[in-house]
Amino acid sequence: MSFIKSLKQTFRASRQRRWNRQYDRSHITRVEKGLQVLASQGRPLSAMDARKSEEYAQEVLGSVDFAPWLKLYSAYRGEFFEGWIPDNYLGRVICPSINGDLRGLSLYKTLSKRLLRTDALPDIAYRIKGTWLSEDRSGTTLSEVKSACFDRYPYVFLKKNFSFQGNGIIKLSAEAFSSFDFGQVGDFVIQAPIFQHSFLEEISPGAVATLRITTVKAFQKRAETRLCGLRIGRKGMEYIETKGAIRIPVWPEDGKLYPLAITSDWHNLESHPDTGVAFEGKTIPFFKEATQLCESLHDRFPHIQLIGWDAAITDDGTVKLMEWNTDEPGIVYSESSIGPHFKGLGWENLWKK
Amino acid sequence: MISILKKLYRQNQEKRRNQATDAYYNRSAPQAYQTLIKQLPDHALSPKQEKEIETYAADVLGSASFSPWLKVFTACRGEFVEGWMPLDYWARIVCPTLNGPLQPLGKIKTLTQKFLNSEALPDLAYYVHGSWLLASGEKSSQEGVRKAVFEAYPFVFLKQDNTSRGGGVMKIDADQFSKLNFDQLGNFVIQSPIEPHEVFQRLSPASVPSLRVTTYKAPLKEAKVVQSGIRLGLAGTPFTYEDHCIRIAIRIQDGYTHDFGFSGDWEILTRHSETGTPINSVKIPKYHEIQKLCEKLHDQNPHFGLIAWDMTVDKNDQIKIMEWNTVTPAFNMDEAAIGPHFKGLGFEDFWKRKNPRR
Repeated sequence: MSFIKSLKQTFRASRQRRWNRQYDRSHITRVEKGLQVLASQGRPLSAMDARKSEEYAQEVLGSVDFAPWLKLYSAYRGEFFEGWIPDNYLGRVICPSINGDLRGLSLYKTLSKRLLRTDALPDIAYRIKGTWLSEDRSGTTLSEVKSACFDRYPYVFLKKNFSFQGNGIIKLSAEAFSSFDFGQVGDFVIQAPIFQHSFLEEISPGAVATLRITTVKAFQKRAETRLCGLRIGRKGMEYIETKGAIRIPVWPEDGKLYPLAITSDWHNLESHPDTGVAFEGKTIPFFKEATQLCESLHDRFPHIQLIGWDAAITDDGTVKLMEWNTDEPGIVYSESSIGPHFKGLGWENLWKK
Repeated sequence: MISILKKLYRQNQEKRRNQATDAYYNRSAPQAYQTLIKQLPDHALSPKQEKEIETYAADVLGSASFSPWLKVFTACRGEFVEGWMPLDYWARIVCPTLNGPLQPLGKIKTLTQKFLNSEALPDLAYYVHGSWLLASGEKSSQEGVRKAVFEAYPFVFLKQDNTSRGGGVMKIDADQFSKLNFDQLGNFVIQSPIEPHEVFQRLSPASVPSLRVTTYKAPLKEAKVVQSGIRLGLAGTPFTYEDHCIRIAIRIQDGYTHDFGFSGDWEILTRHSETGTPINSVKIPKYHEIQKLCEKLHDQNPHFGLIAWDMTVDKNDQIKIMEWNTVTPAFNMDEAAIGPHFKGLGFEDFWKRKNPRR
């Protein structure tokens, strides 16, 4: 090998390591904070589980870089479980490998309905590169869009392309719509509001609870629901934002709620802090309908193997989809509390490719 | 010090990448020039003309490296015309600017129908990541697809994802279908055969000709057809494949073919080289309707600034979409013959943007 070639190889390897370190940095910070909170609740990480996490990360997942999330999962659960997927392994190994070049597609909210072809998405209109389009993609105008929105609904939601975790969502009343500067926000979809099932309204007053259903469609297999969780809001929230939301892990087999909700900084809650409603023993209504819808949509879109669907359930049992996530669907709260969810898929070997 | 080194490394990397892109898209320009001046010796470029073209490329398009195709176009026409679009500038600057990160999506043939939602697309079934789907989106199986497809047609066309210019296309019958190793093929679409309109049948008896219609959608504007041409088949290939075809430009104003076309290696033709049928001044059937359909479909997909449509008309006067192209749809021969097609659209200023790829 020539000197130049070897130098290039060294440079590329070093660059890759640097990118990996940069990617992992925010994960490490989140884990460190989480471990501190758990320790303060009397749930410290044991030395044995720390060692097991590091050994497992190195031997099975190819790098000790993937140990931090395993440590947090172990501390939360009180013991280490084989088969857990660390969040940074999901983001930097699994998703690029199995969702490939199309993994960013779900960030284009203005394309979701085009690609998924489902009435479950409550899209009303789109603005793309300055052009207004109705839900069926015919050209329309601002005043027609306004009528389509406010003749039927008291308010609507504007969702920008590339928005995620609740960022880039704006709730608009008719009045706010009239004075809104649409030229400032790039491409977006306008969605109808969803009026959720009374069971969910009790658990998540105000903001529509998001049922995250993560489906996996392995090669030549049907899509299957692997992980679920319910994100609920606090009083005063108009929509669920990842930062302030509370997660309740959900068993994917039957939609039963985990007895505890988890705040974004890893505090456990037995009941909703604003309403006092307890979570134990409750099951999500129309859960099967929701998972079946997501699985059937995933079967129609086999290009992507891992999809996180954000579903909502209305009083009459209609399942609505707020969005889909193909980039890096989050897993940590359900994975730590009731996982592992992704055993048997061979994902632990993807780093070897 | 480190940051200066990094900057230098990045600049050098960008320069090399640009050189490689130019070399790729300009690779056939010298041969095209030689073939043209053999036929049109009066059109050979003088050193002064060459210098003027290089200066124009540097001043207007940002680099003299964009001059090779401009020289070919000049050799074709006998004079330099301002506003011509060289292929490497098109590929390196214009298409990435107009279509952005979604530019590669046109190569995913198994997604075309999701974007277009048009009955004019002859998709029958898909094989994606080990799953069989009918065009309706219904799940199916290898046997289910075989039955559905070959009960209706004696043969079909299989088109693989991430291919272009006829690469990755196979004409298959039921027997060949049964013997294919699908796992080795990757993702693909199966399309029904098209029996072409009698005008196309006469022009291109060897295979269905592909009518190229390029639409441009400027921000806040409706999509408009800006360029058009047709590729005619040659014996030996059941579909138009790379440069193994005859190309002739179409006037977008009236839908007539130009006075002359070209063989794959730039031989000027007024008749089909195999059949002797005149190919010039032919009225393309349903041309106006084709334009309208392409513009309508483009308006429904405003994420893309530029789309090149491969269209045809069948024997029942039905317009068909063979595929769409969003990556780098080429048009050299049409640009040489009747261009410039893209003058006045501001594409020549794209290189001045900070990052023209975005």
